[in-house]
Amino acid sequence: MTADLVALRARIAAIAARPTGAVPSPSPACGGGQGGGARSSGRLPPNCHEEPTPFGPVAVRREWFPEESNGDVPTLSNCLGFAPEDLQRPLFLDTETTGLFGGTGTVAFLVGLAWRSGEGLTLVQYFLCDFNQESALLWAVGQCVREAGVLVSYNGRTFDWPLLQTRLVMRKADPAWPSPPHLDLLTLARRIFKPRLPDCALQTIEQAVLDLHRADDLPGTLIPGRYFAWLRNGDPDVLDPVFTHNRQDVLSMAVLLARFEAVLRNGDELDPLDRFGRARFMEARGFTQEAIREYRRLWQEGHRGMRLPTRGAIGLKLARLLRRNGRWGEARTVLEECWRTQSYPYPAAIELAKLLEHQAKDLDAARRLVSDALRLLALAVVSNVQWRVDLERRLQRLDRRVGVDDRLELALTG
Amino acid sequence: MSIEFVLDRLLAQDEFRRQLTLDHTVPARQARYASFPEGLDLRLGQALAARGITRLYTHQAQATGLALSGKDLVVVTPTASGKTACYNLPVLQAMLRDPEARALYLFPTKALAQDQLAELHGLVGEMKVDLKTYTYDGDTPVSARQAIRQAGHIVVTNPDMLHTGVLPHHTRWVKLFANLRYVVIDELHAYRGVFGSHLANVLRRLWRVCEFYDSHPVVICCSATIANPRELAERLTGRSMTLVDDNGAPSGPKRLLFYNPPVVNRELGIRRSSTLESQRIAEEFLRGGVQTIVFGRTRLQVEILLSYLQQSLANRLGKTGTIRGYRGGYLPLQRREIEHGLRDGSVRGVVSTNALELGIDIGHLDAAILCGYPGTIASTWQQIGRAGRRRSAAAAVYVASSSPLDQYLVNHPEYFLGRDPEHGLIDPDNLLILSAHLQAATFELPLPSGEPFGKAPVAELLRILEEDGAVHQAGDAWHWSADAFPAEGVSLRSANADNVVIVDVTRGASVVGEMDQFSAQVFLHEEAIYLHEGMQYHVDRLDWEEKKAYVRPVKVDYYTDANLAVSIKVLETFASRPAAELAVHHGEVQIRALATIFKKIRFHSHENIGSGPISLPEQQLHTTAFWLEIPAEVARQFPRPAMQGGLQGVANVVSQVACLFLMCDARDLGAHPEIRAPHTGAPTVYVYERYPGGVGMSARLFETAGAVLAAAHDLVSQCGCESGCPSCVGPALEVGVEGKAVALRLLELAALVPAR
Repeated sequence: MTADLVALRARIAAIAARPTGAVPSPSPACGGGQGGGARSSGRLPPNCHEEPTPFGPVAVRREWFPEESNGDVPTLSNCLGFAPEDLQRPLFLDTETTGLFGGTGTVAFLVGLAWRSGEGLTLVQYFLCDFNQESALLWAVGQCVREAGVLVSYNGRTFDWPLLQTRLVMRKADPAWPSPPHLDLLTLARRIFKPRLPDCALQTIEQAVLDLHRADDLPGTLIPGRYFAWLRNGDPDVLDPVFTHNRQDVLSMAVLLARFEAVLRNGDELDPLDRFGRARFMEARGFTQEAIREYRRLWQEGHRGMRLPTRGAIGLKLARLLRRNGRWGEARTVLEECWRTQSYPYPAAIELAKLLEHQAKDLDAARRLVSDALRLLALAVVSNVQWRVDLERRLQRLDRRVGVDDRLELALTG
Repeated sequence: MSIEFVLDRLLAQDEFRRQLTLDHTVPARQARYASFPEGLDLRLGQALAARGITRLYTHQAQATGLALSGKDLVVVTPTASGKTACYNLPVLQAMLRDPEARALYLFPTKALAQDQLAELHGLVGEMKVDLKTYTYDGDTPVSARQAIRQAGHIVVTNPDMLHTGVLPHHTRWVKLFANLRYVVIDELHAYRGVFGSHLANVLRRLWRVCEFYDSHPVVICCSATIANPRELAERLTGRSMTLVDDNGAPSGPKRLLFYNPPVVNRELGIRRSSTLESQRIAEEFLRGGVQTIVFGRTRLQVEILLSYLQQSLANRLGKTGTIRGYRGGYLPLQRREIEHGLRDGSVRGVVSTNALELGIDIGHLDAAILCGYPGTIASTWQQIGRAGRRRSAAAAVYVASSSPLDQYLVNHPEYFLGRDPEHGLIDPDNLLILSAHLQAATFELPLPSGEPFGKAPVAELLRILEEDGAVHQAGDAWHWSADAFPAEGVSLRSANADNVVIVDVTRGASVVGEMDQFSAQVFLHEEAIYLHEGMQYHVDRLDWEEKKAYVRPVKVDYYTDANLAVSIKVLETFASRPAAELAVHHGEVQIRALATIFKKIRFHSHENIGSGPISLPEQQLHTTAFWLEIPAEVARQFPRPAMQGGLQGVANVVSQVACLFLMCDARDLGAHPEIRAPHTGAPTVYVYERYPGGVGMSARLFETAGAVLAAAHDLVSQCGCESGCPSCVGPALEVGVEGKAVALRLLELAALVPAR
């Protein structure tokens, strides 16, 4: 709308002057009577039919795809804390919306859902022919949600699910939907793949992890416009790419779920950086032995051309985990090698100094290490204020314990 | 030393006494009490008693009673009359009875919200109940927002946050809206002009949302003293209101003095500087041991006053007491410090800009000095209200500057003391403002066909939005159908979206404010000195394409004044009537303006110390205006060049005096004389609103034209200058040697109307 009062007034006058009846007809809607006025072209999006609900018909497209995986996901269930029988009944969910900002004026016009049936996946896409058919759509989606063991989405925790909850409130839907457990694959993707990939958008993951490359995919920013074009003109062809995009989103999630299961069970095939991500994930979920095993393997393979800071970071993770589990002798070996090969040396030195002080109880060694580290740090090209602060603090602490007056030595090393 | 002693000593000075135009004592007022409403929860009663409150003042009791019985109300009370109890009591009472009840408090600024929250926390703390009160605004950390939405009983926010942060996401606030019992709107008088017009629309959206969740909150408004509190409250909220203005709070006697600095150059009409005079007077009080607050119009003034007084106190008295400065933006901690200092006597005085009048509580002092007219009668009373404690005597001195408005007021104290003529004006149906909120409303909840939204041509507006692709009709209702977020593009403090953004280059490009394009050519041209919240900024660069003005804070002793070449076309005349021998009208106009040059004018002496060109494209403005027409028979009496000057003089003085009646800033109006108006051929003076579409000031000016023109006449006739000066019609150089005489005659001819 114009910010110019003159133009606005002129338009109002022009509209008011139109004879009644010559008003531009409201857009065509699909299906029967729910659409207002003299329209009802009765057109539906391609390959859709209508199904009844207590709130009138809803447009839907159903397909079935054979699936290779058998749907067993014991590792995932274990790692993420889902009941295995729940995660074996996933409901994959993805929405296409009229905007990305959220808020009460954003509507989910296409909801793609998939679940296991037979040796494959049933894919259902519910479509909102027009705004006043939303209660029907929500009811249909709700029926599926009721049957779900675990809801599986990609960024659904922060976007799709809250959006659907908002729509339920807006439509005063009753009864309320259950809230099944929710597995957001984006969180998992970030944990494992973020270190290596530029971003964790679904298509980036598809390409990098599943080796899946979409042809002619409709960019997300153009999707709302397609829906608005449908609303105004009723042309079903504009919608086909949207359905295709949505379908691929849902199917990819199913493949991704199986892939994550495989990857968590056995990370050997992964790129080393991804294996590192996997190990960190394992550590975070409390699978200490598996994490140690993986960190150690990466550490040992490290001399095979891995970047030093990364190898050092791995070493540090390994050493910390070992030390926390009482295996400080092994931790010491790792840290000493970090220091010797100058792989992430300063954090390693700090960690090693702690170990020498508390576990090995060798204060002199600790003190020597910290002084050396400070001296080298002062000359280092790449530095970090926090490391220096930590090392100095450590030195002061050790001095206090050893009782040696080191001011002279500090002055010499500066 | 007592304040009476200081006053006696001041008045003993001939020079001082001679320049007084008012010496009036507002008599002491006894407290008038009423009992607590029946059924007041015991815990609330005890908490109040613990804070020393065992009885309520009449207005507090009345307000509480009305609110609890479900009536919408507006309480009008001056500063320090315990107005917050008028809403806290009914709200807390309702919540003690029903822990599910919720309330929403609206304040114009975050600082005010913070202060009120502290008071609320105090009461709730005493009661030891689980009542959660939170502020929800731009500063609220994201991690806390979820908790507030779920659990907050009282949510304290501001209009901007309500507009973009709450209403468009109302489904996250189900608990609040479904159980909303009270909506409190404090500082109602701040919501006038464009800001008020926007808020009225935000409230329309709020009521729609409440309707959706089936809640029917009671609205409690609090206002400072203005002429039309009930009208403003009703227009703002769209509901009928009960007025509570029986102020029962006590106050000691207050001596009011109006002081006009003596003239030092009669021909040019120059008076002694009001800043220096205020310093002198303040010093008398401070030396006498009286805790004093001094209000300055600008930060520059405040700084001058502050440093002089600090020096003076240190040198002459050797006391360790301090004078503190106060500015808008001070943190609660700093404010508490000043408060404590005043209480324990270590702080002798405070020097402040108008920021302090907005209800923020730093306590009370014994004397207030107003350096220059604060801009509205309401603000003047508020500043005066800073002086005076419950029972002891207090004094306030208004020191006039040489601006026409100041001079008018100091010479017409009866105007000030009489029934307050200032009206808070808004136009909630201003098309530009309303249509922006109509979009936001549709985003929030689909609009059923035929549902009204204010007094707007909703059906036509929806068709326009549909043509633009923003909304879509499905079934019986209009839905938002664009992937944009409408509330975001709407600033509540301006009339349209294409504003010029003002950026302070010295503070990492932080945004200082916004201004509509039309006004920007006058106030933000390159090298302009722009005044914002009392601080001076120099406009280094104006990027017109990008709509950005780059400014830098400065302290200079001059201001700038831009010349506009204006042509006005009357589109529609709404009403006309005779004004004695002349005629007045108001209606819709189209204004084309081209900024040409600007002048640099020194403060106080009004010397022209420089000028420069302005190169900006012509601007168009479609708005409402008031105009004064000189019929041909009258015009014939004056030779043309004299008429030209006279018209300019009338334009200058009427537009200034109008601000007195309209409760607006001089920047909200423009004035333009035409020797031959295109549609009538007659000499005409136009006074137009700078906001597209207007917010109701022209209509009000038309209604009160008699009083305004009479006031303008008084101002000019009483001015001692020879042929014009900045304090009346403008300098003789601008209006010509005969300009003042002609202006005076014209105003005489216009003002022979019976009193209102």
